[in-house]
Amino acid sequence: MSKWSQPFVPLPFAVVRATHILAAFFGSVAASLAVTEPAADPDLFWHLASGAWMLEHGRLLDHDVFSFTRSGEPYSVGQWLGQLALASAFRAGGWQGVEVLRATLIAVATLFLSRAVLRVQPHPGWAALPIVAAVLISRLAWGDRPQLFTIALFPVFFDLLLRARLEERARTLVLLPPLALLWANLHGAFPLGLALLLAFTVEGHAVRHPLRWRFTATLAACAIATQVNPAATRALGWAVSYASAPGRHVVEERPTDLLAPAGIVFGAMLLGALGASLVLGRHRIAARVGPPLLWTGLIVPFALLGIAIQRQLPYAAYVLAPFVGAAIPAALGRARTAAPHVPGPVASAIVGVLIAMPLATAALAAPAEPDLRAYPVAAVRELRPMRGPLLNEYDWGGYLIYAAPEHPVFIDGRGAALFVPGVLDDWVRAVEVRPGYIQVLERYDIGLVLLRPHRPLVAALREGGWHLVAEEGGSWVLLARP
Amino acid sequence: MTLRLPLALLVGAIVAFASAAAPAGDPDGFWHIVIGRDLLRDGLARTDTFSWTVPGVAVLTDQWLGQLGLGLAYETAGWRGVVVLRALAGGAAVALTAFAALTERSARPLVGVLATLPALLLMRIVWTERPQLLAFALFAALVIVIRAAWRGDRRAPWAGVPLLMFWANLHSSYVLGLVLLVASAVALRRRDTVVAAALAVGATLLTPAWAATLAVPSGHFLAPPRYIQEWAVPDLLTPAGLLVALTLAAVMVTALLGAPKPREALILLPVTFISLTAVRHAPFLALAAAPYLAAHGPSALHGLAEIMRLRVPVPASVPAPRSLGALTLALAAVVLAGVPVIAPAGPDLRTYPVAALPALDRGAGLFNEYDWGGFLIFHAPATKVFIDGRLSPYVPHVVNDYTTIIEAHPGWRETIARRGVTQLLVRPGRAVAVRARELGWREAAAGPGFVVLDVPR
Repeated sequence: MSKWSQPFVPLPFAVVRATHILAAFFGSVAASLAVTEPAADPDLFWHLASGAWMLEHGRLLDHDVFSFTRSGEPYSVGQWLGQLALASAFRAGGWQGVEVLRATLIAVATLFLSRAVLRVQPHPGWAALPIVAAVLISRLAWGDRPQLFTIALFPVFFDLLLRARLEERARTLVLLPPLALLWANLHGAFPLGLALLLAFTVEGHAVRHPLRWRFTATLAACAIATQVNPAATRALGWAVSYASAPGRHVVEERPTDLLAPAGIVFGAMLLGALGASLVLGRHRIAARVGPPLLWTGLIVPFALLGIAIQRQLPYAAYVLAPFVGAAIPAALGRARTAAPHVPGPVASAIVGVLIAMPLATAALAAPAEPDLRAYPVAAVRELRPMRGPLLNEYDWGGYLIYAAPEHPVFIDGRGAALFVPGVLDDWVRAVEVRPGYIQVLERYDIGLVLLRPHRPLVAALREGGWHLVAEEGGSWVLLARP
Repeated sequence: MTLRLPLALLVGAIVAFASAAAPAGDPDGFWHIVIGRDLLRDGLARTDTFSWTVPGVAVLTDQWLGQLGLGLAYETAGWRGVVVLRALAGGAAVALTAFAALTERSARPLVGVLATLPALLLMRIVWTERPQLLAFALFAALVIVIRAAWRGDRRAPWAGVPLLMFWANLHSSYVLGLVLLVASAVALRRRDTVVAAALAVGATLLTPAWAATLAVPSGHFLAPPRYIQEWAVPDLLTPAGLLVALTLAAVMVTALLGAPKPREALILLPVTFISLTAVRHAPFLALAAAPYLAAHGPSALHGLAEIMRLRVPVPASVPAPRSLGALTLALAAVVLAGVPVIAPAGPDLRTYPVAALPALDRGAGLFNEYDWGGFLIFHAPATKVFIDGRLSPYVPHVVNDYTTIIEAHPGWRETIARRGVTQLLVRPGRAVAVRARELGWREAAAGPGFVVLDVPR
C-alpha cells in the first residue's frame, strides 16, 4: 500500500462530510452564475442548426448542407450527440433551455472539480482559491457548444480516478467505460479522458499500486468504448492530429498568453505549483498532496498542453487545482486539517437550498434571448430578399446559418473539419486583398459581401464600384456586385 | 587544473564557432550599428534623425552601450567584426551558463553539460546583432553571482553592482536581473547582500536616461507589441517552442520528484513567467534552469528510481587527469581562434530589397516595410524611413497609419495623402501593392521580393 493510500472508511448513516456540501455549494454558485449569461457563442448557431437538421431528418448529418463552397462534401465534427442535446434543449426551452443545459454542465464540472480539490485539501479557504481560479479559467470555454460536455466530463473522470487511486476504491472505475462511450459521441476531445486514465495507469504500474491492473483494464475498456461512435477509430486520429497541429487561425487554438486575464490566473496556479514543489520536495509532496509521480504525470503534460493551446487551458487548471490547493499551504507550513462532519438532516436541507438556488436563478434571471450585439442582425433583414453567393465574415457564418438559411455561407466555424485548407485560404486571400483576390471572387461568383467595415476587401470593392446595400457604424457592411 | 572552467569555455567556444558561421542580417542589427557609429562620431543622439515621420522626436537611449559596441566592432573590422562580437556574446552566455552548471555538479561534468544543452540550443533564436544578446551573457553572469552568494560567498553580491550598472546601459532586460538580485538579497537576510542589492538598484540609475530607463521594460512587459514576431507568445508546437516545453518539463519534473532547495524558486519563478510571455524571453528559462537542473536533476532521477523501487547503481566518480583540463582549454582556444576566420565578411541580404535602392527617392516620402527600415537606414541614409524596428517613437500614430496603408484598410489612400507618401517600397503580396497596381500606379522597380511604386501626385 502506498504512503498516500487512504482506504475508504464508511461514515455513520446520519453523518455527511462537510466537503461534499462544500463541493455542492461551489457547483450551485457556478451554475447560478452560468445561467444568467445569454447565449452568444459564434459556433452555437451552426451546432444548433446541425442538431435541428438531425432531429428533422432522423439521421446523422455527415455532409455539408450549410455552405455553397463545400456543399455536399462529407465531413464530421465528431459531436453529433452534443449537437442533438443542444438542439433538444433549444426545442424544449428556447434560449433558456440552452442556458439551463449550460448551467447544468457547469454545475457538474464545478461539483466534481471541487470534490477533487477537497479530497486533498479539506480546508474550505485553501480549497476555494484554486477552485475559483480553475472556474474562472474554464470560463473561456463556457460557450454553448458540445465542448461544454468535455468541460463537465473531464472533472468527473478526474475525480473518479483520484477517488479510486487515493482511496483504493476499485468499483469507482466501473463508471468510466460507459462515460467514455458517451463522451466520444458528445465531443471530440474525449481523448483527454483517455490521457488522464493513461497517467493513472502508468503511475500505478510504476509504483506497483494494488489497483494497477484495474486501471489497465479500465483504460482498455474505455479505449474500446470510445470506438463506438460514427467515426470509429478516425475520431481518435482527428484528436491526435488536432493536438499536434491546431488551427492557429482560430483565436482559441492559439498559444496561451500569460499576460491575458485567464493566462495570468493560470500563470499564478502554475508558478504556485512549481514554487510549492521547490519548497516541499518529493517526500513532503507525497505526505501532503499524494503520489509525486502521479502529480508529475498529470501536471506536466496537461500544463504544457494548456500553454500550447489556450482552448485546453481549463483542463490544465482542473489538474493543477488540487495540487495547488494542498501544496501551497503545506509549503507555507500550514498544518493539514480534517473535514468536519455534518448531521444528515442538516446536510439534506443545505443541499436542497443549493439545488433550489440555480433553479430559482434560472426562473428569474435566465435571458430569454441571445446576445446578438456581435452579429450583423440588421444586415440579415437587408440580405433576405437579395440573391447571389455571399462572402461572409468567418465568425458570422454560424449566425447566418441560423438567421439567414436561404443564403448558404462561404465559410463558418466548422473550419478545420470542412474548410481547411482550400476554402479558408481563398477566404483569407479575398478578404485581405492578397494577389489573386479578384480571381477568388470570380471563381465563387461572389455577388454579395457581408464583412466588418475595416476589411481591406471592403475598401477595394467600394473603390471598384460595388453597391453599398447597407452598413451599420463600425459593425458591418453589406455590398452587392454592380 | 579542474575541468570546470576549460569545459565551460569549450562549450562556449563551440557555440561561438557555430554562430560565427552564420552571416549578419538581423533587421534591427542595421540601425543598432548605425546608431553606434553615429555615437562614436557625434555622441549620443537623443532625438530621431532617421525617419521623416517622427523627426526630432525623443528616442530611447537604453541600449547605447551595446550599440556603441556594435558600432565599434563594425568600424574596426566591418561585418566580420560584428559577427565576431555576436558570436562571442552568444558563446559567453552559454559558457557562463555551463560554468554555473558545472559548478553545481563539478564531480560529474557530463551532468553539467547535459543541463546546459537547452540553453545551448535555445540561444540559437537570439543569434542577432543586437545589444539584447549581450544582455543574455550578463544574465548568465548574474545567475553565477546569485548562486555563489547562496553558497556563502560574501564577495559575490558586490559583483552584482557593476554588473547591473553595465547591464542597465546595455539593454532594458536588466530589470529582470535587478528583481532576481533584490529577491535573493532579501531572502538571504544578510546585511551585506541587502546593502549590495541597494547599491545595485542605485547603480542602474546611472544611465543617460536616469530613472526613465525603467519605463522601457515596464511598458513592453505590460503591453507587449504582439504584432512583432519576437514579441509573440511562445508557440510550444514550433521547434524552439518545443525546446522551451522540454526545459519547462525538466524544471517541473525535477521540482516534483527531486529534493530541490526552496531558494531555487527565487530565480525560477520570475524567470519561468517572463520566459513564457514572449518568444524573445524564452532563452532566459534555459539559462536559469541549467545550474538548477545540474544540481537537482540527478536527485529527481534517484527519486523516480526510489518511487519505482528500482536499484540504480551510482557510478563511481573518476577524477579527470590533470592534463585533460589543459587539453580542453587548448581545444577551446583553437576553436575560438577559428571564430574570426570563418566569420562572413558580408551580411546576408537575401531578404532585403537591395535592387530597389537605386530607384528610391532621397529625403522624405518613402513608405517602407517595417522590417526593412533598419536596412534602409544603413544602406540608403539619404532616404528617410517611414518606420523601422525602433518601434517606440512610432507608437501609436505612425504604427496605426502604417497598418492602415500596408493592409489597404478603408481610408488607406487618404492616409497616404495626409502623410505625404510619395513612394511605396513593399512586398508584392501586400494588399497595398495589389491595390496600387490595380490603380495603375507607376512601378519604379520590382524584384523577386519587393516592388517600388510611385504614388501619383
